[in-house]
Amino acid sequence: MAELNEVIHQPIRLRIMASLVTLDKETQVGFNYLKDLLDLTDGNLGAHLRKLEEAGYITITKTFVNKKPHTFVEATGSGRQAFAEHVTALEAILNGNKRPG
Amino acid sequence: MNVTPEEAQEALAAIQQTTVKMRRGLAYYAYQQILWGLLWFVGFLVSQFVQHAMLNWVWIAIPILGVIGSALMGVSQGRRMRVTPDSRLAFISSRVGIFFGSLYGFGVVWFVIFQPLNALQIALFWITLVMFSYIVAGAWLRISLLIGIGVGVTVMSLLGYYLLPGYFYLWSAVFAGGTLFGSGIYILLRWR
Repeated sequence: MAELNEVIHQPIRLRIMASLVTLDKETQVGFNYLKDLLDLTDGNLGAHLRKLEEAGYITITKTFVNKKPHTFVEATGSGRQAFAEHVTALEAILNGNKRPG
Repeated sequence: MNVTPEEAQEALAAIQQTTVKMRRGLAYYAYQQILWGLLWFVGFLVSQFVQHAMLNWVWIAIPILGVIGSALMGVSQGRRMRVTPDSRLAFISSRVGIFFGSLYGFGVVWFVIFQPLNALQIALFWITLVMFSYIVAGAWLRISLLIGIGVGVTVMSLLGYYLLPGYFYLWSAVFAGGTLFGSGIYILLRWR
């Protein structure tokens, strides 16, 4: 049975992962776009991205575009799987198939 | 970890909202279809009802506006997302780019070689060429909507060309321009 994931369940990280898994595999989203989409500050988004990166759920790539630094973020395979399991667990709770705890 | 059904529902709703917002923000091709659909619609409608030398300028302006609009959307999209460098998808994307470049390059060459074409033949040529690219892209990327648009608009355009030549532009405004515009709107609405 799918288990809830404590790293992903935090509301901001949940929305970050929801954004990233919406993209096709092998596609990255820009840091600034993600920040605007989720209405977060640089520091707040950066802190949550680091948590997700430490868990192996995302990769962060820093690069230069026209001599300006750009950061891109992508969900890993294990991140996609962990998110899918978390969603399944949430649906199970909602449907009364699994007791919280 | 304690999560109540209410909290689970809130979390799932947050996921749904974020997913919709993300998809709409990145629906570059839907906005492109809306833009080109609108341009084709206006162009063909003007062609049907205005028989004037001004028409040449309209059909010079339309591709220029479309290319500029598409390029601006592409730049904006490129700031938001990109294909992971050196990935399999990056390889496929580059091949898709080469294909479209070649197809439209050949299109221009054929267009010149086939001259003189009458105005209806020119319109049919470009509509079917663009729709051919939709069919190939749909088959390549396994997007049945693109195949459906490509086949549907091609068939309708051929029917209009042979059966209703006097109303072909009006027909194309509805079935070519209208289909592109409508399918772009459909993609955005589908992600509610």
